[in-house]
Amino acid sequence: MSDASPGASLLTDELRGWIGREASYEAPEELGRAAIRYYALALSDDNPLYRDDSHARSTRFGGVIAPPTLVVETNQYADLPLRPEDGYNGHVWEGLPLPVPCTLVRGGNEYELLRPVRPGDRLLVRWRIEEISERRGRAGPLLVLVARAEYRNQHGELLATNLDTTIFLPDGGGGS
Amino acid sequence: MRFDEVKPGQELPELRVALTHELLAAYAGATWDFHRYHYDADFAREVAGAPDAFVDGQMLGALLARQLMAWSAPEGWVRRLALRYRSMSFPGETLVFSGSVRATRVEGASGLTELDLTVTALDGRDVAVPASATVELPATVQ
Repeated sequence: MSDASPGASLLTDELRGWIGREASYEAPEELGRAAIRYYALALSDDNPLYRDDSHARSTRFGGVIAPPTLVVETNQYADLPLRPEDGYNGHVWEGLPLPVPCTLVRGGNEYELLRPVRPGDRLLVRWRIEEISERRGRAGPLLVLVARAEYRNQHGELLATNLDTTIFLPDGGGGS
Repeated sequence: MRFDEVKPGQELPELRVALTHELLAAYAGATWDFHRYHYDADFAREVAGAPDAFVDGQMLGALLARQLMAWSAPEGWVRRLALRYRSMSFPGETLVFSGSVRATRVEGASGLTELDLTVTALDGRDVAVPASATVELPATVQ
C-alpha cells in the first residue's frame, strides 16, 4: 500500500513492485535513408557516411549508416499518438504509482552502440525497469528510476542498449 | 583519423553550437518528438517554469556523437557514450563540446579510445558533465 504522509518513504512496496516491468515497441516499416538524412540534417551533420552511399561503400561500413544515436530516439518507431495536453508521443510507464505528484527530470544516459543501424533495419525496442531507488537530493528525498532498453532489428541482431536514468522530484519541495 | 595517430592527452577539436528555436524544432521533428517543451516558449514557462523552450537532453549526446564521428572519420564508430545531465539549455545560448583522450587499448581487430567529455554553456555552466565515450577504429591499417 502506498503511504504519502509527510516523512514516509517515497519508495513504496507498490512502486517497488514495478521493478522488472517491460514495454516493447516495434517499427511498422524499415528505417529508410530519408529518415537517416533528416536526422543528420537536424544536427547540421554533413558527414557523408549518412548520405553518400559510394563514399560509405569505400569505408569499412560498406554502405550508408545512421548516425550513432539515432537508434535511441524511439518515438520514431514507438508509433504512439500525440498526448493532447503537451504533444508528447513517446514511451511512458503508464500508471507508475508515484506516492506524491512529481516533476520528471532526465538524469543521464549510457548508450552501448554495438553495430551501426542501416536503412534496411526495422527497429524494435524493449524497455525494462531495472531499479527504482530513493535518494536524498539537495532539497529533500527524490526517486531515481533506471530503465534499460535493448534495440534490435528484424533479424534479432542486438544493435544498441541504453541505460536511462529518470529523476522524479516531488512537487513543492523535492531535490535540486 | 587512424588508431596509431591517437595518443592519451590529445584534445578533441572543440565544437560550439549556437542554440536556436530552429535547431530545437528540427531535432524534435527528426526524432518524432512533438512535446511542446521543445518549441513552445509560453508552455515551457507556464508548465516547467523554464525561461524558454528547452533542449532535449538526448540532443546533447547526438551532438557529441557528431563531434566524435567527425574526429575519427571515416572509419571511426562511437561504441559507447555516457552522459549526466546537469542543467537545461535554451535558444540564444552557445554550447561548448570538449574532450580529451584518456586511454587507448587494442581488443582483437579493434583499436579502442576512451575519451572524457564535457558539455558546458558559454557562461561556464555545466550542461552535461561528466560525459565519456569509447571510439572504435580498426587496430591495424589495411
